[in-house]
Amino acid sequence: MSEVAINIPKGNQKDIHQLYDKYAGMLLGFIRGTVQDHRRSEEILVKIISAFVLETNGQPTSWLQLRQFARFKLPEFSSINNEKLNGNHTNNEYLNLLDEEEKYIFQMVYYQGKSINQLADLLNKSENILRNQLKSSIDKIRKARGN
Amino acid sequence: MEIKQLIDSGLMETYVMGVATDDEIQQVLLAKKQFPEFAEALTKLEMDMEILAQSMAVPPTANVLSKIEQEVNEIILREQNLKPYTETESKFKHAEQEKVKQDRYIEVESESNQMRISKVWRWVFAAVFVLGKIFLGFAIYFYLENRQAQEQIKDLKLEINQIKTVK
Repeated sequence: MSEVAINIPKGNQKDIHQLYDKYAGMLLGFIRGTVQDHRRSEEILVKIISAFVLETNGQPTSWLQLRQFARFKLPEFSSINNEKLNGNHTNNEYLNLLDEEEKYIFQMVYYQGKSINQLADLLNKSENILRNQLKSSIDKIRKARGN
Repeated sequence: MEIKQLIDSGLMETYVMGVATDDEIQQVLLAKKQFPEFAEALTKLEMDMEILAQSMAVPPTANVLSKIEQEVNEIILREQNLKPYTETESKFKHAEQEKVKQDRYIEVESESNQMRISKVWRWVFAAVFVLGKIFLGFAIYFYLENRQAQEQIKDLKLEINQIKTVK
């Protein structure tokens, strides 16, 4: 362990290790969905996990909370607001089960946090249709996983 | 709405994707509380989304963990250094406010019957005392001189009168 870490309270070190072991890869995958450069993605990952550890202060947390926190902090830490989806990264076996439109809707919601309302305006579709499309995409992925 | 319909409505999916509106969040939390079947389906969906995220995970390079520890450490140190500064600042502000208060208001009723003055005043008082003594000495001297002069004038007048009568 690096010497500079000696001032971190022991509880915090444990929190960092637990959070890192469980979510660092997932979070980096999430960041790579919008940030193209791997090195830059890792820098953002460091900032997000650090801020999250200090904010939650050892409280139990979930992937959902961490992802929402990351989505909220991503524009601040990366100085991006509308970075395009990183097509190379999203070439995932589950996402490849979806057709182009489903994949686009899923990614816009998942990576960019676009609301159903915003997407309805963007794609000129009704909110209900989009909600159903999103649900059907998630169902497809879950079925492929055997659920 | 029946529980099956609620589960199939897509509400849970918008919730776990983090794009539900405030009303939808309230609906989900209420349904989770009221219907165990809904709560179970939601937990399962959350787990599935976590597994999906795992499948899209990218392993970070080896030094990322130490960078995180370094960053956390720096933030903690920054906050610790900031704390004493803000405490000193608030003490200083308080003292300033007290001073302004004192400047603005004159204390009419004093608690002590003694007065505090600057030490410079003792030299002023000493100078006034010495000068007072000198003036008193001059006054006595000139008074005696004047009395003597008056007596001499009186004697001279008498001598003149005596000379006039002899003539």
